[in-house]
Amino acid sequence: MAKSDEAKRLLRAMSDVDEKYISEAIGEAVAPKKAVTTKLRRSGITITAIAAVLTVAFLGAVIFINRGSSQTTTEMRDQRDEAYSERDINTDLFYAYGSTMHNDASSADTAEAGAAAAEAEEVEEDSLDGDISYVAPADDASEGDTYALSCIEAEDIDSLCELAGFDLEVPGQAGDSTEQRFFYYFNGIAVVQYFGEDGELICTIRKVKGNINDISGVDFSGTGETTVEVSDYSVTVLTNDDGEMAAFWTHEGYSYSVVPEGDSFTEDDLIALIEDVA
Amino acid sequence: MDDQLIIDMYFNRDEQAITCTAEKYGRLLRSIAYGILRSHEDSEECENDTYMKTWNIIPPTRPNAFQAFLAKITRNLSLDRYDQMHAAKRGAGEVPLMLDELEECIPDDSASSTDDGSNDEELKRILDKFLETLPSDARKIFMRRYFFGDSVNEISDMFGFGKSKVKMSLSRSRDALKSLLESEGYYG
Repeated sequence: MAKSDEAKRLLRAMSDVDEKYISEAIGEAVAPKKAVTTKLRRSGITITAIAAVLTVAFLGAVIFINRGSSQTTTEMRDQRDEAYSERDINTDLFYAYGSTMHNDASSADTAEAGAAAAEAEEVEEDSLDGDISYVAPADDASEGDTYALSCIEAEDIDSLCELAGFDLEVPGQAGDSTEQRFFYYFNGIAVVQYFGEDGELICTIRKVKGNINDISGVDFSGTGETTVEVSDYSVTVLTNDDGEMAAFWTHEGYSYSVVPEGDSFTEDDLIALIEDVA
Repeated sequence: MDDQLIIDMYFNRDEQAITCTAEKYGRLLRSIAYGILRSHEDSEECENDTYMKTWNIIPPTRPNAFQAFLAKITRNLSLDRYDQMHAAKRGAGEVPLMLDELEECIPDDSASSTDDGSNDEELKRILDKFLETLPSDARKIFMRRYFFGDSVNEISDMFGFGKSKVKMSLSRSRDALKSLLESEGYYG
């Protein structure tokens, strides 16, 4: 029998599957959609990117957008540093990330590291638990308040590296992605996001200077945690009950994370991505 | 109205059974038919044919899951109508795409099988086993695609997933089905 006829037989045979599977799938058609809850639960780049646009409108000159050839990278860095020192952004829509100020002792010799260390102490006072994950706004903020830091969208990976001040290697594609976008956040995190043909977010990769435990920005409560060896370093992989995963690791003075969107990636897919990140 | 009360009406040859069935499940049945036929007119005819067939089957049959029982009847009737309409050529809509996709589950070196229905029970057993092994979301996506004939876009909207995720899930499920069909020796 030809393959086409076998396919027809297979399609017909689907009518005879156990009724419980039919009822289960019928139920899905009338159930509320689930994805929004998942996305809102994560302190992810998507929300922060939207928040960054709102910040531009709200704060005016405090926010800096990549203006292409009219601004040099040095000018943008200066403006970034100035904006960061005036961080009075405090709306509850925003999230902040671990600070690059939290450098390890090996870089303490440089003047820059010294200044960074001083600011790290200041930041550490505001942090929730000393292992910096969030930075509270200054002045009238109360513990637990978070806010977003602004970002610049870079044109390509080379521009992103120039803004960040370090090299970043990432895979050209993640899953079925058709587009990459590059963001540099004013707290020093370089971010590469992968999008599908319909504009849906597929994966987010982050890198920042310093040894920070978890820069994934994901809040997986009560999840499974495993450690996998990739090349010559150990990667922590978190998995929640919905099959979502987040991976993070440190290597040679930098911290990394890879977070696929949803549960479409297997652990092997995730490892394959991690192997191409440097 | 409770399904058992409706079924009792069929047993009592009370024609209100059909009215009650239509009120409770008409929309579902039309959507199942539309998923295959992509024609509202043909879908309504399949819906009406379903009621006629149900009237002729009950009694003596007393279905355990009335909703799924009706869904199967409608689906088979829709596929029959589809075959009649497109006997000579592939038609529009999702069925040709579904068939192309399901061909991926057939090994290239599969032995020819006879079309005498002797393997149908075995195929049903394998499909049930396959569906049992799938994660819940993957199973529901597979059923929505290959039982209900929903498009990738429709499934994406229904679940709130991206299209890429739906396509990837279906691709993996087809690979798993192919592996199981091979390991069970269905294709010789």
